[in-house]
Amino acid sequence: MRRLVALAMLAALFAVTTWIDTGPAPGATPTFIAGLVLLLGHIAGHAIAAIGLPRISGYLAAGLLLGPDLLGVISTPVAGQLHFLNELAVAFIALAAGAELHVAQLRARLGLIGWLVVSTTLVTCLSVGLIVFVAGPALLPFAAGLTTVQMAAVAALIGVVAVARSPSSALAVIRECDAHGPFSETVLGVTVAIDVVTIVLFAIALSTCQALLSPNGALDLGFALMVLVEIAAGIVSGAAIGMILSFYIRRWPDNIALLLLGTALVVTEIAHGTARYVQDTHELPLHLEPLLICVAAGFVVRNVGSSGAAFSEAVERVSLPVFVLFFTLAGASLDLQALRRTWVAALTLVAARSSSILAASWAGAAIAGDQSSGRRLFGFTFLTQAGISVGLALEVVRRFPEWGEEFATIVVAAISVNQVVGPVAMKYALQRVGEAKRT
Amino acid sequence: MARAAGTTVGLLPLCLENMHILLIFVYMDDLVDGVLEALVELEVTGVTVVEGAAMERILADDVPIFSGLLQTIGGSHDKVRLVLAPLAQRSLVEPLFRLLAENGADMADPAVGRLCLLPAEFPEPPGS
Amino acid sequence: MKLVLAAALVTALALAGSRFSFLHLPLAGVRGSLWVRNILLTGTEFIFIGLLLGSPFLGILDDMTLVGLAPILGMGLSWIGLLFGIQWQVRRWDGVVRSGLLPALVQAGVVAVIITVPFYFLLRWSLDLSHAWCLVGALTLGAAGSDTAQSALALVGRSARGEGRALARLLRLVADLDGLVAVVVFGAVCWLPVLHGDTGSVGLWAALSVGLGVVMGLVVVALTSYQLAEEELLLVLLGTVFSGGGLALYLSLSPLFVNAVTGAVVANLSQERVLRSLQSLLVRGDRSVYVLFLLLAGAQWHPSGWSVLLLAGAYLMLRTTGKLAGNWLAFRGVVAPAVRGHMGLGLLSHGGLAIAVVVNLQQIHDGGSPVVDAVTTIVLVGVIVSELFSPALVWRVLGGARPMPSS
Repeated sequence: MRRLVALAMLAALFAVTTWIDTGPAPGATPTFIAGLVLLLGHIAGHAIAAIGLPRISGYLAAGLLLGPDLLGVISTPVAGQLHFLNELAVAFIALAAGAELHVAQLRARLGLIGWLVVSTTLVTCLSVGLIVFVAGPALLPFAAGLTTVQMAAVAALIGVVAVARSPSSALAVIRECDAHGPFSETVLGVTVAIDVVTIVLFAIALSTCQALLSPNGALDLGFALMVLVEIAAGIVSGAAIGMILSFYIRRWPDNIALLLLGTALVVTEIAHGTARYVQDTHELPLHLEPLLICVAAGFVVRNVGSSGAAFSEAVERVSLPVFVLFFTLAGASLDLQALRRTWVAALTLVAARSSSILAASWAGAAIAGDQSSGRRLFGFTFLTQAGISVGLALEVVRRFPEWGEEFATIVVAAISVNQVVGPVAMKYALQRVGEAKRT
Repeated sequence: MARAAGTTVGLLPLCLENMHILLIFVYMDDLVDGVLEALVELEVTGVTVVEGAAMERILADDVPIFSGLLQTIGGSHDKVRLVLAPLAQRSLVEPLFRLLAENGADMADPAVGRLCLLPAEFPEPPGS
Repeated sequence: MKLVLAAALVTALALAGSRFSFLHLPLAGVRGSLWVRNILLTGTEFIFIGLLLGSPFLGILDDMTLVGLAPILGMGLSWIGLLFGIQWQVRRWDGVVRSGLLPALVQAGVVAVIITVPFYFLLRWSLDLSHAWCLVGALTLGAAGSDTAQSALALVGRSARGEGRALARLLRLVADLDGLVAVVVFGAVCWLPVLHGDTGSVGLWAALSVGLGVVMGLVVVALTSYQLAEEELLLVLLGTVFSGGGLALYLSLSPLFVNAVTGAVVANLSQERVLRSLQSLLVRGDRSVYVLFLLLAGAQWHPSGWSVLLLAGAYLMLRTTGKLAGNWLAFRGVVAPAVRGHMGLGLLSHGGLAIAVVVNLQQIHDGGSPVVDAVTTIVLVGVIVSELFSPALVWRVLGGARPMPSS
């Protein structure tokens, strides 16, 4: 009730302020929208937790409500002004995800993690791709004029995008439930590993498709090679940053949280800046992934040297505001219009992806000989999807402008559904396994 | 049970194996009695209460920029009471948490205080 | 790219500054001039670092970058406003604080009047500004000048002995309380219609300032009335700081004043446990935000001509006169006449809220305007000169004080 009163007061403040508007001072709008996002996310998170759903569903719902399709508080220009916060949050969450991967704890479960990665990647990619290929134009209207080979290429790309997960969602739900134990560690390990696998697979698929779909039919191995260079560069630079952070934290262990936010900010900008520079000077489409750099940096700090515990504690202390910002802004970017137009295709993709992940996870755990109580529940934790998948869809738009837009609309609609359903399924699994200490 | 700063008065428990030292940082003055009552209820003896100041307070004491009044009226963990107690059984920790919460000193709340447990050794003098 | 690197540089400097400045210990080994040490111990060097990074010199913090950093400054102002307000927890005040409040406010009020009135005419005469802009400039200077910084008192006061110790406590109490005049007077400057494109009235903007602060305070009280973990309190605190600061800037009001009102509401209506946690979180940002202010005030400083330096000289003289007269008047019957005569010299330390007020003016009005440039130069010169001399003056006023921590 008191939260409802607070909500009403915030709404009244917003209404009065925007009504009076006399030309705000520089930076005023993004500052106060960021504040509203934090407070409304907090209120929505608690409201949704009261009915047993994960708080990040509340943050997403708050974002959806504030977004351009409904109330329009976070309009498209405002979302643009807040974009840097979003990028900062992604990089920070990646640091946090890397810090969760503790080699000493993961070593015993490397076999299980490996089998889960292989099985879910192969089964999801093949089954989703096959369904898309068989359904053809019935599912994807833009595919009506494509040849069989071209249809196979499109199906392969959708199959690869379906493999991608969301480490940020996984980490947010694990933190919210205060989940600790072998099941949670395995889930996070698999989720992070699959993100790297997806980038590689996508590069290979994109190069192959371009060869199949372009008039001269040449296979562009250069792109695949470039992606491998990007991954190697990302891991090496991340490791170097991790070493520097580790040294700094050992020497000056206070204000770590601010240091990490600064690191996330600088890594994001330098990665994008380097990509722009290489593109301008050498015309090479280098794309250093800040996510990968930060995961590598977090991993190194956690596992090399003695500052891992202080690092994890600092990350944990400030992660909640970062999660609230990230998921509320993600909710605001959910494309309801696209979902309205393509809901049949989107829901078919969601169903195909979910069922294949559930089956593949069960099979992977069985092959690895896992006897734990959670072996049948892994699949529920792998349904989350966000961030990187959208990036992949946008890359398709860039490469194949003739049908890429429609491709991306359907894929983004499916990702939106997964983004909402995934955390709910994940919380259910963590509670069933008994690793969730908070409900 | 002693409340003199830095001195330990009272009887140490006889069982010296598996000993732990219990440290309870109490940030709210008025909750110290609740903490001590919980320890009495669990028959913990040899308890010492030490008064201290948080690092932030000592640092801020040099040059507070915008928080001078807070220092003057005494806020923000300005005083910390440290309750030190030898604990013979680790199993007492769980009921202790419950009793502390019942007495208003819920250690899950970082604004109220912190509780930690250190393994302790009481070496005997050479030749004894 | 440049904006982000500038933000990272400023953050790094603020962190390093909060660690190495303002403390006796790390600089205890600094040898040489007492004046140099005073500057280093009071953080004033960051004004020069900011100036160096600004557009006249290195150009790292140029005008475009400073506009991009506006949200950080807005948040900083909001943070300090909230920290200032949340200390005004009336139910915890003892007799000493209650009896010191009125004299502290009277002396600060006298200083504000003694600076504002002559400066209204001085600005009109020297810069040829309109009535409204002269009022903005003069009242801002009055607000900035009325506050006493803690630095010199904290550096010297603790080594006072005997009667000097009691006087040091009284001076520190006055310095704790007189910031209220600075915050309220500057809050009132932002009610002037000239800062709102000549729309609305003083009454409307005053009601909005207070209303905004009170409602945000009630939001915080409502949200923290539940049992919240520390990370959730941090979330609510950040949400409040961003919303309060952003809303105030959106309406060209003072984030400092609006959030001080919010803080006061929280201080007097929140549960004790919540209040302690919020105070503890806010105090952690005290020095870092101050260093940030010093850096950015320095970066936005465009030192402009000898005439403004003469005005800065006038400001210093008027402030000294105001402090002497204000204390002599306010502490009649409280302090012995012999001490009261020069007691004001112990309250000349300058900085803290004065810098925050300047940064706030730069935020709500175009950086390049003559009134902002003049006020910035006058206050920054005032702070630098005051911090050179004030520790020695405090030492003299306290009589029994031992020398500062020696080299």
